[in-house]
Amino acid sequence: MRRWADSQTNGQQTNDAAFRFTHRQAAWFAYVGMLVISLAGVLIVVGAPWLRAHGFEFMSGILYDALRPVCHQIPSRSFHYHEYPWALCSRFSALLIGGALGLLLVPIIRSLDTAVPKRHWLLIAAIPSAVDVAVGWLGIPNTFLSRTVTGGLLGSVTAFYLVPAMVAAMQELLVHRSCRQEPVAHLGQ
Amino acid sequence: MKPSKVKPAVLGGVVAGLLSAILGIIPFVNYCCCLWSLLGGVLAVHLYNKSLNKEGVPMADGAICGAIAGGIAAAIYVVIGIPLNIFVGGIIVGLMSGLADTSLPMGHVAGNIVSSILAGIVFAIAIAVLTTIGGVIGALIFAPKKGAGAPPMGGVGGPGAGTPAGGSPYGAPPAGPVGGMPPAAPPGSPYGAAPGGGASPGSPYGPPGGMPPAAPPGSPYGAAPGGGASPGSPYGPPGGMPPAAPPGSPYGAPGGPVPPGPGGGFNPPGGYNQGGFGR
Repeated sequence: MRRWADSQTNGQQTNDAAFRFTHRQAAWFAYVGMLVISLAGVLIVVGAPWLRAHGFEFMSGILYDALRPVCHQIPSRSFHYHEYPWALCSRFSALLIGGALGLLLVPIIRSLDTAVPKRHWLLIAAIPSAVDVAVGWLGIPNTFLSRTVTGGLLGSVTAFYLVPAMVAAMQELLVHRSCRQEPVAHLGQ
Repeated sequence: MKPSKVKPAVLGGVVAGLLSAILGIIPFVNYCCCLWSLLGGVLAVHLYNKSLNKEGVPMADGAICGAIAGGIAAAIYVVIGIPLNIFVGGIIVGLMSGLADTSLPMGHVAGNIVSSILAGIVFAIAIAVLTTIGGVIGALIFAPKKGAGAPPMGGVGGPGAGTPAGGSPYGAPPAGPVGGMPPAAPPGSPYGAAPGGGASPGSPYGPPGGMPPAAPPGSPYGAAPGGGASPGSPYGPPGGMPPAAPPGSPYGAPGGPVPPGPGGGFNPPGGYNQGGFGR
């Protein structure tokens, strides 16, 4: 719900219509923004083969090209939609989809207004992915499943760090700093 | 006065943008493109932390640093990376058509260029987002130390500020009908006082925004929110006033600098209580 603050200046009431966010609004603003960006990423990854399968070759090419600098896009290491590979490999796709699922779970499992978890959990979640990547570099074959699962784990756990961090940042920006810039006008009245 | 964020953010953005643009054309190295973006954000926050004499970077400052760096990195990628990609792509296409002894139709080449530009713009947006995330990660890494005047992780759920270490020995008076202070939680309560200070609903009287509830002695959770003017009251800001220092406290009145609480609340120079707004 929007809250509009009226202010008084020199005894004369004016309506400056200054929009002020509450903590909850700022938290949801940050959360919804992150969710939209995350889902847009998933849409790009899945949309590239979908567009190609439906004959939109040019648009599909743009999406594949956009993500080419990020990922090798080897078809044998990617999920497929109608024989066309996704725009990211299985590890990156799982990272992205795991992140989106983690984002959806954060307000259910934890509150948005919560502290950032201890850092060691993120490191623990990153260990399987790091081992899987290292194993691949050393020439020991990893599997499609291992790449997907380890990437998904890291992505979903990362969401639990990014949400409170971005919420705290947005609350500080939208709530606290706006209050500091517009100091209370009637202290002591 | 805080140092400017622009200089470290520009440096971080330039590093992220140049690495993404130049290394993006090298096979295998270009798969780390998202890593360069994240590193650029972390670098910007690291440099900002250095300019703060390593006091630690609050979450919002980290996000701002990362966002500025991301914008600069994206701009650099658009200016350098996209033409570079088109140029290198053109060389590769030229070599391949020379080997095959065929020439591609002009329309196909133009389509490739347009496609490369659009793809580059999409990737530049991704760089901006990733660098901002890098800034947040940097703020997690270079978080203010406990007790250094800022909450350990961005001020969410941190211990309450406004009372000196050990808590106030004085309780707040009961809430009056006209903008009084809300009742404090009983000593020993771990959750702080209940919200709801300030003018009563619909009351046109009372001071601008009640005072937020005080944390009980030793409370690890700080004061609860809700000390502002009630809905319907035409007076007072939504946030209410910062918590008062206890009588006889050497730490100043509301609005003045407030010392950190037992676990380190974030107290900006303006005296606004940012830490421990409760849950």
